[in-house]
Amino acid sequence: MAISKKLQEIIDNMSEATFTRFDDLWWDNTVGNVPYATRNILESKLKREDVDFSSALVIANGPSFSRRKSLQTLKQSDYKGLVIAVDSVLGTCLRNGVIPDCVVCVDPRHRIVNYFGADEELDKLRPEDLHYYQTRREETHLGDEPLVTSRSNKDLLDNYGTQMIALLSTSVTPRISQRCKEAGMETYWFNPAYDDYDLFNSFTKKVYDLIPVPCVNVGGNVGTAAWIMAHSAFEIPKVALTGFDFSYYPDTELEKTQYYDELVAVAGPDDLETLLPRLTNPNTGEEFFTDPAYYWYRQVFLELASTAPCTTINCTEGGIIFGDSIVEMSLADFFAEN
Amino acid sequence: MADVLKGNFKVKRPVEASDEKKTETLTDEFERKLLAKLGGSACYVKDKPFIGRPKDN
Repeated sequence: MAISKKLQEIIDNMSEATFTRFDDLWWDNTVGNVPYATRNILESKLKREDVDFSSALVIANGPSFSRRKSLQTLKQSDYKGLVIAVDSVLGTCLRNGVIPDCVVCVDPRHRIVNYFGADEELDKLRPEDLHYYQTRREETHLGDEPLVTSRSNKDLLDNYGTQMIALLSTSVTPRISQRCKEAGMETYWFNPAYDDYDLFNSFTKKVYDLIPVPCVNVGGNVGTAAWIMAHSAFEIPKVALTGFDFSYYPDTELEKTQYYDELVAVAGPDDLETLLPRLTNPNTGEEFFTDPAYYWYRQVFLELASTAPCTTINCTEGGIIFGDSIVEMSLADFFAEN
Repeated sequence: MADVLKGNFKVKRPVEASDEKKTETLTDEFERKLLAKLGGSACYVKDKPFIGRPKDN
């Protein structure tokens, strides 16, 4: 698929852009997590011996998750495999009576604590974060009333925290570590690979020297990180995905997409479409549009999937993750076979 | 240039700062900050294993 020169330029710059975006925050959070990071992700398998490790389901928060009613399908199933949720979908799962075995968190921003239930004083949302959540409803799952949802998330985590474990990146805000501790949720840790940790002056190595837990090549986002946990920390040979869209449905208003303001600033409103490529999912026949970050996530995911020590089964029933290394299946069919 | 030359002495050959260069730098800085906002939640490092540790550990 041909993409615009500007889009290619942005994608080529994505790792560097991510570094510029967060480097100070990554370090500050890592320092703050030193007292909490006492167990590493490779120990987590022993904690979840109650689970059938022949397969796993990774739940991400893409729009197909609600549109395809995947949570209801999961709830009605008798699935015994490992269920790993990304942070932003945790509250939705718990509100609907589904308790994941693990939750994964990577993003360093303070506002992510809302997925674990924020303290209304300590974690007061900045006006720009409140604006983000209120305008990007489809993408965030904090709904029209982010503070109300966060309050509900807090109660749910306090009630169910002991039944789950958290797989946390040392880059997350220490407020999440505190929330997990308050809720009785055991935490298992990893360092995200920021750069090549075998090279001189590596930032990852500096972080590793502070907290010597395994380094995970997380692939840019929490969904990919959760998939890696399933096959490389839990060593599960068959990993299914749901809510892995990395794209938007064609009827999504552009204003509700995650980088709308920034993309308008880069391209201008008239050229916005050049940064939002469209791909047709060959399995559903539907066309989806994506943005530079999601497009980059897709490229990285497909590259990683080609070398992964598992069969990757995409049960999203939409989105733009398809290719030679991916098996497509409906979620109901996956449950029937597993 | 005003940030570099300090003191009360007079230079033999006056140096004029280039406004054009300053404008370019500000534009670059703006673009860099803007592009940074388009970054992901985390990095990806090509050709590293899914899970690893630094070699000298």
